[in-house]
Amino acid sequence: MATISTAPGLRSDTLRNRKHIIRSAGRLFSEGRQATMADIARAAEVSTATAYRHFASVDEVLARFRFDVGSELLEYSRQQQVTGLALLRLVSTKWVELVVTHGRAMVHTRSGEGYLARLRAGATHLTVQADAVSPALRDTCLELGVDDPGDEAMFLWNILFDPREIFDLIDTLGLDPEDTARRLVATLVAALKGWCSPEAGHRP
Amino acid sequence: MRSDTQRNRRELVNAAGALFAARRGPINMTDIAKHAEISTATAYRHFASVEDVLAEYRFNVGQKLRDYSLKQTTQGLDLLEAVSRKWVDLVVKHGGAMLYTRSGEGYLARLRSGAYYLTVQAEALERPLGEACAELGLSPLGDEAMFLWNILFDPREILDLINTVGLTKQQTTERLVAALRGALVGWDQDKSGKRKTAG
Repeated sequence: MATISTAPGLRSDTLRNRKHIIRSAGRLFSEGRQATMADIARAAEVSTATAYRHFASVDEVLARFRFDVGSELLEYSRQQQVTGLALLRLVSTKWVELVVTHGRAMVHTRSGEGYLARLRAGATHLTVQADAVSPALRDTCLELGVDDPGDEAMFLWNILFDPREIFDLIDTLGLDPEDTARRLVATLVAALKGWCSPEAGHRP
Repeated sequence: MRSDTQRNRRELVNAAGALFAARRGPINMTDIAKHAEISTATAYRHFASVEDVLAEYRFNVGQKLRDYSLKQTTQGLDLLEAVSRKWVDLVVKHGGAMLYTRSGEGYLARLRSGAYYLTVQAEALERPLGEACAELGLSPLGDEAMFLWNILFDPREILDLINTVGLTKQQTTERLVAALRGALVGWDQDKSGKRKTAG
């Protein structure tokens, strides 16, 4: 995926247009609408042709939007003074807040490929999210006294903190965002212990 | 239903399964009809969309899991492990046809609204999960336990562990069951802790 907004030498109005397109897409999808590129362009007050010069498809705009949300999570994670489980709690809670704020824009039509396959292939919005969460997971494993399972810990975090499941817990079970985050962290920590336990046949 | 009508329907479902198992990428109703050696018009008399054909395919796989589950004489965590292992086998066997374009709706929302291929799977897991919770000394978690089983045993994640991490089916089952077991305990502890402070 292109990351033009961080590339030097771009004209400022081009950068501004790009930012507007990403934000407009995020806003439209957050409101639960199925927007086309023309809708996004209209909301961003640029022409559809301009929108297509920046992004090949609506999915690409949304991927960039999710990358930006992931970057926000990463920045938040880096600002925290705590480590380990305390950090994991803070970052996971922040993630649930971000998901709730951005609503349906965070629920992606999923790829048939698995999370680890995509992460290892370097899908950018997944890598930035992994950068935000991995240090906390690694230290949590140390605190728990279990062997760090590497990106398999991130695999477990990802399936539990999938935006679609977060909304399911909030909308269907009626949990509030704070309860959801706490419940999921408790579940994740215990799942992680199980994953790394000898009963799981983990390699020594 | 006339027997040739039933046969056509079965052929379509099998054809969809074979096509999705064999390749990635878009497969349309015409492809499925051609593979089943019937006309596209006939195919559309049976199913409104490719998604509907796949839903029936997954329903049939879910039925195999339910039949297997109902036949078991073991209980609790042993039963949970046996049924989960059977599911991993079925996912590996049916491969690509089990990876669907996902709905934006959550699992519990779909289950509670009665999505028919999810309900048959839930029936297969009802006794195993209920007894496993009891064996672990947890309160009955109902469909919340099913929610956790479902996200851990999602076909896409199972195939990811096998193909990307290189685990065997047996390792995948053991690892996921151990993670699920922990997840159930963690979920219940938080849930009952909250009830205590609230009450």
